[in-house]
Amino acid sequence: MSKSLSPRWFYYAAPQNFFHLSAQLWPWCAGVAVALGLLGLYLGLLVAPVDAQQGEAYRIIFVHVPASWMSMVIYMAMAFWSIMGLVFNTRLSALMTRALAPTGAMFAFISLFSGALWGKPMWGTWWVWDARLTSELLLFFLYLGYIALTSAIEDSKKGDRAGALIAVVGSVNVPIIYFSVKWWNTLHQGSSITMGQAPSMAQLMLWAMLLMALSFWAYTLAVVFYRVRVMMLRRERQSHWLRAWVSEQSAGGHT
Amino acid sequence: MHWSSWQAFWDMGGYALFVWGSFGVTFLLIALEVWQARASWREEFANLTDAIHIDNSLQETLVQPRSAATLTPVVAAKTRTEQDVQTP
Repeated sequence: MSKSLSPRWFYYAAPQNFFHLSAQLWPWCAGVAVALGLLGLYLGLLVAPVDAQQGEAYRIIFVHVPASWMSMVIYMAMAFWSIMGLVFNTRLSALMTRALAPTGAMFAFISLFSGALWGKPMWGTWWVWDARLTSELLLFFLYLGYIALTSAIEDSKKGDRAGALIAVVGSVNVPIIYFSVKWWNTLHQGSSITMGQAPSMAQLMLWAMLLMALSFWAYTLAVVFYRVRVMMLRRERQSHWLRAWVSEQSAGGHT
Repeated sequence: MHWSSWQAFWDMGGYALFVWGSFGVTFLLIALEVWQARASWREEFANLTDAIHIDNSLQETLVQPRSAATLTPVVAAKTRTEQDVQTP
């Protein structure tokens, strides 16, 4: 399998090819994100029944859980690309890591913010220092640390390597967030969905949540593909292929 | 449809602030990120276009020194200096 896959894989690892590929991919991802998001919001806000214990406040779950998942998934993706970058030394991997970070930070913030707004009516407090909340806060700071560090280092190669280190070392925190509700006695409730078990929520609620999660996935792909191209405009500014493309585009009159 | 009226929908069973606060901030941040990404694309694209123009005109000057007079003084001055150095 790897024999037939690897040439293609490395073909798109070349910035030039990925630049054109991502131009085609991002609009589709954005379209899927909007479509699934609207469907998820419709089901979650308009159709899904009220929760027996939490009343209407439970609807926060439709942004809180998908955002929290994405904040973890994105950090793991950053760790993955960092390892790829350290092992294969491909230029694309550092760009992917950098392009993912702002969106990951955003979702971590949304997770904390919506969590606070959910905690206040349900627990009577905006914040507690329990394992789940604390480790998610640490994740948010890891994102900020990554962004601050990589943007502070002038030499982009050195910045890439320092960032990769934070991404890889910090990824230890992600399983801690995920399993924290099992390992420690937390105020935060247990998982809504556990692998290999029937979900602890009604079908319709589950569907709304999954649609929102898929929408956030598609959104993340769209914005990352888009941002990688923006970064290439800067990083590949000396490349002939990019200059030829830019000249062609500005001659054509659309930017 | 779960709701009996729009009023009930907006009220969210008394949790309006918490529910709409969460959804509001989520989609506000997403909108900001999209806006920021588009703005930075436009900025970088314009920067690179400018850089290409400057490089092209520099190259023209270096290839055809006689047309230097028609270019900006800075570029022309630079070209003259290079000519002076090359002429023995």
